Amino acid sequence: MRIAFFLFFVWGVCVVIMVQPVLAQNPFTAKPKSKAHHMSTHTTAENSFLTMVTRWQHGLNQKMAALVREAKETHSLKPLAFLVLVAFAYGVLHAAGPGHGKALAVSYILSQRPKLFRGVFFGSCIALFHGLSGILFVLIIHMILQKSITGTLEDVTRTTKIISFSLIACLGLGILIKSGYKFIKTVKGDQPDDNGNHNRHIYGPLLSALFVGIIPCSGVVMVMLLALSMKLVGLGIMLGITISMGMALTITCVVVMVMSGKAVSLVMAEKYSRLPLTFENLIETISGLLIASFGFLFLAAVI
Amino acid sequence: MCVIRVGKQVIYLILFLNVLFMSSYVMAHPHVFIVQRLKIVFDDQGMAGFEVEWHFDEMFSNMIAMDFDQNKNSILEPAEVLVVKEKAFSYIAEYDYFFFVKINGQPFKVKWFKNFNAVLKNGKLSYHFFVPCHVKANPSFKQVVIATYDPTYYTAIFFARKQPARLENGDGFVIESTIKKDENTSIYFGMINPWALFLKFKLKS
Repeated sequence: MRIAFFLFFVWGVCVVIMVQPVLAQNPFTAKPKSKAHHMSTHTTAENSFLTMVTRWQHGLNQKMAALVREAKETHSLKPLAFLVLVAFAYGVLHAAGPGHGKALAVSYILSQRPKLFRGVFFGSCIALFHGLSGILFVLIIHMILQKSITGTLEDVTRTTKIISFSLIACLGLGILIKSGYKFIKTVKGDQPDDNGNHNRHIYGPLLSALFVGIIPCSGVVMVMLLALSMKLVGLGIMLGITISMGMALTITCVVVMVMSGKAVSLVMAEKYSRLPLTFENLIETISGLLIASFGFLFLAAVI
Repeated sequence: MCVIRVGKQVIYLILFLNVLFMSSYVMAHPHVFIVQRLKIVFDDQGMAGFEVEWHFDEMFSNMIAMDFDQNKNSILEPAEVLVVKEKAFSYIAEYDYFFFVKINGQPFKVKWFKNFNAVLKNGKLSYHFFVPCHVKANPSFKQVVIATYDPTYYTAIFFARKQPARLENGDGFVIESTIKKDENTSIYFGMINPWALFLKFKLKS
């Protein structure tokens, strides 16, 4: 029970911490919804990893822009191979931050019992939908509707966030109710319906990934726009997909690590007869609660 | 064998908890990158303020150019600059224009700016503006710390490697300056000490 409380505390902290950064919008082109709290005065150790990753991202961003320009000017395929590598690396680093559905993916995976392939598939789908949403946004808004990007991006992002977070909240509630019911049954000593069936699958990974990944990725939008400004639509789409694949790698790694952690925790609890089942149902219930909380909190922040 | 198995499990468990934390706090997430140069301007009394040069990355520059370079001549004319100022600069007033200034340890809120200009050159956008910040010089040193960061971390701001800061009209004062991490300030949930310009000046005796 202590472990459960500890995990619950950890996730609770995560929920609170997650809310602000994940909702970050372009501060240059959008009115802030609320006043930011920014300066604290306590000393702290510097996170050199974060600084380093940010500098790498800046370097890759510059390199990508230079290579797109080179490809346009030289009409050569030579820079393309390197460009693809750079775009992939950019995607890997870009998804290391919040706002790419990782926390939701983690909570969702914890609430299910997917096999490795399905977990990988789920993580990859989130990233691909996130990137594809950015690509489609640019193609529709800029090429078909020919509207301004900056204002529209904020509007579209807000609308998709409302849709996404509403669906996530509903999904979380569904998982919470189902898992909560199972948890109460196991605590009471009743036999659960699935009888510990290890083939319990992740529910609708494609649809769930779509809920999370529907919000357009600003990174992909900017790369697409750069390519479009040089009339390289195909290259823009290719780069958008490559960045998404990079993001997929990061998100998938996170998902797989969490799946491994959950599996190990359950193995460690195996020496107690009923504990693994109770523990797993508890994890699922808390995860469902977290998904619903994420959904409602993010939704409240957007509205 | 048992020891190895337990060892692996512990490692996995540590990784698992680490990822739970990582997924919430790692914030390597900027979409806009700025390289900045500052010019500290002095008048007869002391420090008058600082001029800011922000050089944006090519992708953000392109996005702004697509929307606000109406005649598509790759130059921002005065009328277009006004629109850029309104639609792609004024919103950051809510974040004190990303400047967090301390004068002798006391916060100074940046509310105003002057002489805003946006320049588009070779596809790269730069903003130029002046932040008034009057600090009267005394016979003893006064310290001004100027840190620049976007509290939402949508934007990453770096000092330029070459000539990150300059002085103007500082001949009447003894001035010491350095750019380093501000160890007394932490941002992004305590993860980073921002880089800041530390300036000390006093009247020449």
